[in-house]
Formats: sequence, structure tokens, C-alpha cells
Amino acid sequence: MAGNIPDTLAYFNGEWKPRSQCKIDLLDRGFYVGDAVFDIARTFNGKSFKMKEHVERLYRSLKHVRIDLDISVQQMIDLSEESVTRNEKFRPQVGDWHVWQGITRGVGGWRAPTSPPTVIIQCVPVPFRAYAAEYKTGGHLVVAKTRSYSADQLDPKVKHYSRLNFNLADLEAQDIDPLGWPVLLDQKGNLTEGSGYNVFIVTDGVIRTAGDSSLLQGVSRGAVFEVAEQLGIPVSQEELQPYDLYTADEAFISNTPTCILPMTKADNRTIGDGKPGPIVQQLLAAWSERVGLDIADQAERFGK
Amino acid sequence: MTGIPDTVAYFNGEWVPRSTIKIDPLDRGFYVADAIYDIGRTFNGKSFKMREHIERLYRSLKFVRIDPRLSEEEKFDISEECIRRNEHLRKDVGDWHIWQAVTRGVAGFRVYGVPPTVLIQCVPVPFASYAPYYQNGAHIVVPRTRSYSSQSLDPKIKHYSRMNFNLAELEAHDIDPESWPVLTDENGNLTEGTGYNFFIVTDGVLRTPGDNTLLQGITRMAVIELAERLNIPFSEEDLQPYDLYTADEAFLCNTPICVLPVTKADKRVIGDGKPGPVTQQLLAAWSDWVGLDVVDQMERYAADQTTIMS
Repeated sequence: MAGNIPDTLAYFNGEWKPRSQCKIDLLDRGFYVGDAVFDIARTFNGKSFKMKEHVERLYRSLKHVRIDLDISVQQMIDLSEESVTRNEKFRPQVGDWHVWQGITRGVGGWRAPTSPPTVIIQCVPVPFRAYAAEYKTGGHLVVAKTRSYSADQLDPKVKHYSRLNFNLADLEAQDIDPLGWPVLLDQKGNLTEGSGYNVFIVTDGVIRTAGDSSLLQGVSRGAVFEVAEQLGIPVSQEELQPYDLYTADEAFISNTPTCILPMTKADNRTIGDGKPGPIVQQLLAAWSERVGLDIADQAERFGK
Repeated sequence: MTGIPDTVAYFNGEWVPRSTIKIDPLDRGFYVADAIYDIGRTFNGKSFKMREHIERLYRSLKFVRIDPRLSEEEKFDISEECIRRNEHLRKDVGDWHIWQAVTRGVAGFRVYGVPPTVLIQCVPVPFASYAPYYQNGAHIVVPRTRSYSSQSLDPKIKHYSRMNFNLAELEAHDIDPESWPVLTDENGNLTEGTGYNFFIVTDGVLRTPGDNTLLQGITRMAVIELAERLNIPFSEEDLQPYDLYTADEAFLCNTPICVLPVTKADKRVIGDGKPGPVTQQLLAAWSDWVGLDVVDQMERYAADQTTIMS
């Protein structure tokens, strides 16, 4: 993420300052024990999308891990919107923003009190280049060896920074297929989610995805349900195994930056006819209409 | 942060004051906890089992596939140099933690292969956090949150992705703010604490779980080594909370505390409620080994450490 990132203005512990000046202390618990939660919304043409849902999820994460903020949900929304407004001048060069809220428990030692929470709200460019080409060709899913945390270890509904298992899953997937997007299994072998995205398949005209007992309640996942309903496409939440993925007619992932990204292979098996399927295309078109820009086209233009 | 001397630390190839070292919010070690660490310590300024700590660090790095771009030998030498460079600051704090951290570096989601962030720092052993528990013993609480299973994230890796440990501490502190959590695995067997191993003593036998669900503690291995020397029978086995509650003695071990007596577990008194004879014997042997009275040092320096940050 280095290189040509504009030095946007960020909110850091009560102050607005250039992002390059926001640094994390070595004894911040968010760094040395992964004691932090976060959320990331994005803009479309500079306008935030479902900011309220992202901030509400952030506060659910905070509640679960018991970090108390003296910033209300509404203030967090306002600060996040202010961050978008303040950086609008940089936007033409990057297309759109990730609006990234990170909250740590604060600076402090083991079994010792901590400072107030560390709060950062930053705009960083949506990383279009990482996936732009895959709207046409489709990405590849790989079922990773590393499994999701179970809810009694660390509930995947919490959006936290303790994601080393996701990093390992990324590496494992890329070993098998350089374009591989990992999908993790739960302890029983059911599909859960990717390393920052939800996974969907289409079988006989039904959109199918795992229930939220073993995965993040993706805001984009929720948006997929909304768009599907609008289009009259049935959705089923159920336990799915790799078999269901391999034999599906279509597959796609959803998350904040990609919205919907078609997947045309899974563990080196071709999904459907190997091209982004009709329902995926339909969903993507409806989403583009809703946000007032062509999602795949924008990714391709700015991903260059 | 008051009271911490501004030691000189190694950061990405340079020696700089620790206070000037900051982490980029886009460092993967921060925002996806894509980082490995290890912590050794000194006794009277002399490193203890540094080789073992470095070897474990490199096992962790190998597992998570981070290339630190330094050999084990270089890492060892830099760590010893870090101690030497800060020796003049040591008398105020007693002894050091030598804290190694390596992150995958500054990079985006799903981006790998960038230069790692490499840190070696001396921070004071946080004696004040531990000193109060030696005389009367610590209280273990078994929290609801479980250890990661090895198929999710192998506990043998010493990593920064410890949110389950943070939650376990909060849960334990609900029951007793002074308590020390020891977690269970998905089968209900005891595993480890949030940065320490545990042992129990039953009928003269020292018992602890095998290392398939926990960190291969350097201090744990040192305890086993001492037990052998003292002819204390030792057994690695699956243990449940029942075994802990009904033990004659219990103790915790890790790098700063060495051996810390436990006298309560989930509000049940262990043995006669006082640090037990085998625990005391191990602690005395440890002090002999490192050439200072571990508990005495702890208590002396704790008094000065009003604000502990380590």
C-alpha cells in the first residue's frame, strides 16, 4: 500500500492530521496483542455507502471485546463522513475511498492499566488493482488448510485485528493458485468465509451462502440479500461443503471494495462454464445502478 | 509511559531511541496482526536461554513464512548487543526483557513479499505486575474463551493475534480482578495461560499438558530440566479443570516470573492454600541457577515501578 497514496487527512485520537503522521506506539495493545477492532466502509463517487451499517457493526465488535469509546455511534458516523469531505480534493486521482476505522484498547503493559483507546479514522484508496481484472475473467477460490476460529475461540462476527490465520490461509491459497482467494472451513468442514469477504454459490437459480454462526456479518453480504430480493432471486442460508462449491453453477464473493466479484474456478475445478454467470452479472449490474457508477468499469480504470 | 528508560533499540537495521520508533498503521503487523515475536530476559544483565528464544522465534517465522532477512546468528548477536548498549540504564530497572518482533511489513490486504519490520528492544521486566503473588500465591481462573485449535492457528507459534487471550483475561478478571486465566481446548482439556504455562503437583508428580495445544515455553522446558535435576517425577498428559482443583500444588511459569506459586483455582483452595514444597524447591533451584534470588529481586524493584509498561 506504499507508493502513490495521497497523504490524506486522518482523525487520530481527537485530532485531524496527515495520515503519514499517525503512528502506532510499540506498546499499543492493538499492535502487540492484536487487541483491536476495525471496520471499513467505502465511497462511490465520493459518497459513502451504508456507513451507518458499518459503524453499527464496529460498535457491536467493540461491545463484544469490551472496549469503551467516549464517541457515540452518531459521532463516529459524523467523523467518518467528515473524513470523506476533508479528503475530497484527493479523490479524483484514486477514484474512491476506503473509510477505515481502527480502535485499539490503548497503550499499556501486561496486567497493567491502559491509556484511553487509540482511535484512527483514515481514508485510503480502494485497492482496485488487486482485483480489477477478475470482473471479466473471474477469480479462483481455494479451500485453505487453515480453519476459521470457532465462536468459542474468537467469534468470527467480531471484526478484529487478530487475523494471522487469515494471512496463513492467503499464503496457502496462493501456493495452489496464484490468483487464489482462500475460503476457510470451520472445525466440522463446512465452508465459512474468506480472508475478508463472504462467499456465495448459485445452484439451480438459488443463491446459497453459509449462515452467520461462523463468519463475519458482511455489510456487502447484507446488500447482496437486498439486491437479490429486489430482483426476485431466492436466497438460502445453509451449511455448505466444498462439494457444493465445486458443483455449483456460479460462485462469487462479496466485500466492501469489490461489491461482488465473480469466481470461475474452485480448487482447480471449473465452476459452471468457466465464465462469470448470469446471476452474478445481474447482481453486479443492479448494484452498479444503485450506487450510480459501473463498478467493474471503475475498478478497471483506476486499477491500471 | 513514565518511568521507562529510553533504551536504544534495533529497528529495521538501525539503532535508535525506543521512543522514536513508531508503527505505521498500514503495517500488516498492526492491522492484521501479521507478526511474530519472542521475549527473553536477563538476570543481573546476563541473557538467559537467548539461543532457545531465538530458535523458537525462527520456528514461528518459518511457520508463518516471514523472512526476517537476518540469520539466527545475526539475530543472536544483535540481541546481545542490545543488552550491552543499554547496560548503563539497567541499574534503575533491575533486568530487561529482550523483545524481538518481526512483522510481515507495510503492505495491503493479501499483499505479501515486502520487506519485514524488524524490532529488537530492551524493556524493563515488569516486576510490579508479578511481585504481589509470590508470598500468597496466584489465583487461576478457567475462562469461557478457548485456545485456538492447531488447525485454526497453532498455539506453538508466538504471534500477535491474541484477541482470544485478551477476552480470556477480561473474563477471568470478572471473577477475580487479580486472577490469571488458564484456557481449555475444544475438548475441555487445560492448555495454557495468556502468556504462561502451568504445572500441577499430585502425589509428588509434576504434571503439565503436552505441547500440542500450547506454546513451547522456554521456561516450561527449564522447569522440566530442573525437575529432572531434582529427581522430581514428571508427566505430560491431558489435564482437566478437575485435576487442577484437586492438585496438591500448582504454579505458573514464563520468562519474567520463572515459577509463580498458585494457591487458588476457580475459587477452590489448592492444597493447604500456601505455596507448596515442590514449587518452593523449584523456585530456590531456579534462583541458584541464575545467581540471584528471583523473588527478592521481584519485590525490591516492584516498589519502584509505580507505572509499569512493558
